Amino acid sequence: MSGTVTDVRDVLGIDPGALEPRQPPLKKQRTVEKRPDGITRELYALLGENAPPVAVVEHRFKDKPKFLGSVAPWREQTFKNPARKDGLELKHWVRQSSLQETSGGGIDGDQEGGGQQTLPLDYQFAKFNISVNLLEYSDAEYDAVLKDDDWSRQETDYLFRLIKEYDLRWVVIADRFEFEGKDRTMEDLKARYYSVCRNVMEMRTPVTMMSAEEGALYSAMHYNKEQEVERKRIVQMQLYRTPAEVEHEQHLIAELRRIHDSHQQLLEEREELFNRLDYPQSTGSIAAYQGSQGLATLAQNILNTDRNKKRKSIVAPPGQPAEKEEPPAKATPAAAAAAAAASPAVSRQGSIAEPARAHGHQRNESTASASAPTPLKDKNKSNIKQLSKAEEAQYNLSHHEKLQPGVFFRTMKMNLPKANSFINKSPAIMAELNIPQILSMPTSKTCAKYEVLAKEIAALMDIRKQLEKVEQETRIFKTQEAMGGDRSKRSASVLSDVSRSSKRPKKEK
Amino acid sequence: MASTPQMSGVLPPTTKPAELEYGGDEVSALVLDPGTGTTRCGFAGEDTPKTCVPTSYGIVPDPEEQKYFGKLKIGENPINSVVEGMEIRNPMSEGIVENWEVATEIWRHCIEYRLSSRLEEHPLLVTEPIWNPLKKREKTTEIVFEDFNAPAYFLVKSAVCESFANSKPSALVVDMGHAYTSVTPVIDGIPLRKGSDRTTLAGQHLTNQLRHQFSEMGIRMAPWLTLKSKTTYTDLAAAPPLRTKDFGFQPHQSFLDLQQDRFIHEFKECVSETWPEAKTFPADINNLPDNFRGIADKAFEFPDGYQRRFGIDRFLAPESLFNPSVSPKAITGDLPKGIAEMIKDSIDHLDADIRANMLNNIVVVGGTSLLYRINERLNHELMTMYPGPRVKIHSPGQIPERKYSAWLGGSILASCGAFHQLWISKQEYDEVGANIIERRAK
Repeated sequence: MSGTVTDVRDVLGIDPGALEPRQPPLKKQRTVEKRPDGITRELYALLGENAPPVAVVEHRFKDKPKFLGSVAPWREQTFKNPARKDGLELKHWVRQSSLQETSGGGIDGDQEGGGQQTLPLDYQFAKFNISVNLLEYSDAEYDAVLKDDDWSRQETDYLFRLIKEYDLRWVVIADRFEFEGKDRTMEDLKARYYSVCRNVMEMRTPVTMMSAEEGALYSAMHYNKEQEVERKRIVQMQLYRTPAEVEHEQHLIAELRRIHDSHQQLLEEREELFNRLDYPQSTGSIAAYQGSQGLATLAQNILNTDRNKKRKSIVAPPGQPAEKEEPPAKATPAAAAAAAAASPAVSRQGSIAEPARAHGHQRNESTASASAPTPLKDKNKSNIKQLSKAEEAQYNLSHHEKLQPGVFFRTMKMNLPKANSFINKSPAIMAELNIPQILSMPTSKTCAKYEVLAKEIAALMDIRKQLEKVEQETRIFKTQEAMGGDRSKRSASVLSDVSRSSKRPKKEK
Repeated sequence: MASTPQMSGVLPPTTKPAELEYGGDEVSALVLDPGTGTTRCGFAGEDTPKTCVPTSYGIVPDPEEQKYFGKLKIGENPINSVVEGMEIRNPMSEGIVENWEVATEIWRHCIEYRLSSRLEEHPLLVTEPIWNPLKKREKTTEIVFEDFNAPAYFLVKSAVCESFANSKPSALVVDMGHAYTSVTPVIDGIPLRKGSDRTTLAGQHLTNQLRHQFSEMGIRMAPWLTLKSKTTYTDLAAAPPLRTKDFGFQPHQSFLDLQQDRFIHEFKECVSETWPEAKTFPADINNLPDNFRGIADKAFEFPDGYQRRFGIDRFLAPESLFNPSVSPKAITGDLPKGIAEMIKDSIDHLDADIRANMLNNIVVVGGTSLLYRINERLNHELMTMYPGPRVKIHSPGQIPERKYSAWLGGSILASCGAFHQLWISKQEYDEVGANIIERRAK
């Protein structure tokens, strides 16, 4: 670096000695003052050359608080309450400013005479003096419709007085009702009051002529004493439950909540079950399936459609007798129809296969696996020696559309059910069947067989679970039916539903 | 009416609260709450009574002594000073005024002497127990208007005040006072007659029970005032001789009883405790079962220096409030109902529809309700009686609020704007007579 600097100096013609005096002044400045002990470096750095801060101290008192407006004195003032009839004058303290606002000039009068008020303020709390609007009846009305053997005129009047006094607070009215030693319950009083009201209303305006409001009131006045007495009896019963009853009730409530919560889940599960059991209805004759071979074909078809439903792969499983090898004559139309009806997915794929058929390839398989490998097969057909099925099996030759790169065990690629129940229980079942957990000879054939077996085991386990559930439900409903006769009607429909669903898996088996 | 409505927070001192918001309108009324133990008096709108004087008074026969405070000695200091021949009496009987002459003097003492207020200037609100008969109510009215010359007056049931003080228009009020424990259902501020009940199982009962219990134990119950000095000791058998003051005369027995009550009162406050569950209380406290759960002892020193640790025996007197049959001093005559049973009976008298509401709003107030853990016990008993509905006991946490609940409710009521239409005015009294009380304040 220094070399270049001197070069530049040389070029510019600067005397190298001229730079010398520059350095010392810098160093000098730094060492001018030595930091005294006891002051930290940071604090000392702050002092430095800076001018000391100037604190602006003003010698004066704190500001007065700023009040809004001027001080308004409070004044003791008499007031009258319009809710009172005796004109009692009480005194309260009112702020002068609010006096001015409301009464305007009231202050002057107050200041002069003290007692005289220019304007009586409308007392704000008088508006709380309200009472219930009660129906009143005249003598004529009483004689016409209100006569009652049990109730005298005096007692009815007394009742109405009480009702007015206690503003329809029935608990208090019943508490205070004392008339010639008569023992009246609250229901008696209510019944009498409402019947009087209804009768008077009806007499004044016939029911048909009543306005909507009046009609509503009239019907609201309907009082069913027996029902009310019964209701109170039940309320009372509810109040005096024993601890055991309360505990039982709480238990039932918890149970009910649990049932409610699991109900939705149950419905979903049942729906799934029905879907699972929804096997294709045969439309044609079943004669074709009566032989063992026919049955095997059907099973194969169903299995294939089932597999296609689950796995989107269009590769035919290795080792499986590919459908394309089957002579077309073997697949009966009924079987084809059954296979087609089994799954909508299949029929959709069938339609995809349609153009391929148009190309002139002889295939009547409705499965999708047939349509895709076409180009490869064509190529093979033309160039390579065609091996027979037996030969292929002998050489353990299989066709793949796409090979996975890398090396792997075939057992790793097995498509086994993922359900937890299967994973947990399959070892035991496999042991029962004398099949090792790890295949000793995992050829494509054995692997495929193993897959099929595993799937069947899983399906059977699933069915058994569902069956148990349905049986449990049936048991519950039967118990309910046995317990409550009135409930049987309601549960009948459910029962039939359940019995239907419980029969199906047996058929399947 | 006044200004802009205020937002929440503390109002500046210059701003008046919006009246309709708190509904208050002070008319400088006085509230008087006379009880058997104490008479509470103060200004409406405040949260505690300004003065609380003992209702017991001293009566002095000696003309020389009468020079100082007159014949009647009213107030904390006069009744607790040793005066020859002074007899302590109480103007109340069964929670209501019996001796009108003295009661009037006590009320006057409270208002004129203690509050320095002029009776004829302030509306007066007086509380009364629910069982106050018509005659007594009329007499009160007469005194207030004739003797006190009050501008307006109202008589309100203390149970109503107590429910208001706990901000409840409807409640089952349990008032555990000095002479009586009362249960009153209040609906919308109206007390119900059926379902109201009272019992003497209250503060005075406790004091008497404890006094009996102590004398059974052989404790010398010399009050503080009569002792010159004390020597502490723990063995009753080896008690040092009492060093009593020589007054030159024998104080009246009623005076000595009053002095005894003072340390018994302290015992109630410090040592007495309520057993939390009825069924686990030992049947015989002298023979505790082996598996009995131990309880911590509490020590108490009597005025003469005797120190004693109290174990299960400190639960005995409070237990008698709930189960009178275990009273240390056997109750003569019919056994009264325990407090919890009384509450149950009261509730069973009510309409079925409001019972659940009442159970949910049980207000427990009064000085005796400050007995340690009494609410726990009450709650437990009620829960056992009514396992179904919700039982909730409301009791103010502040001690003054509990002791002066009736006064506080009266203070709230008398400073309430909507209440001012209810006052009975002098004019109304002049027109109708003392019977106006029956018409206006039911």
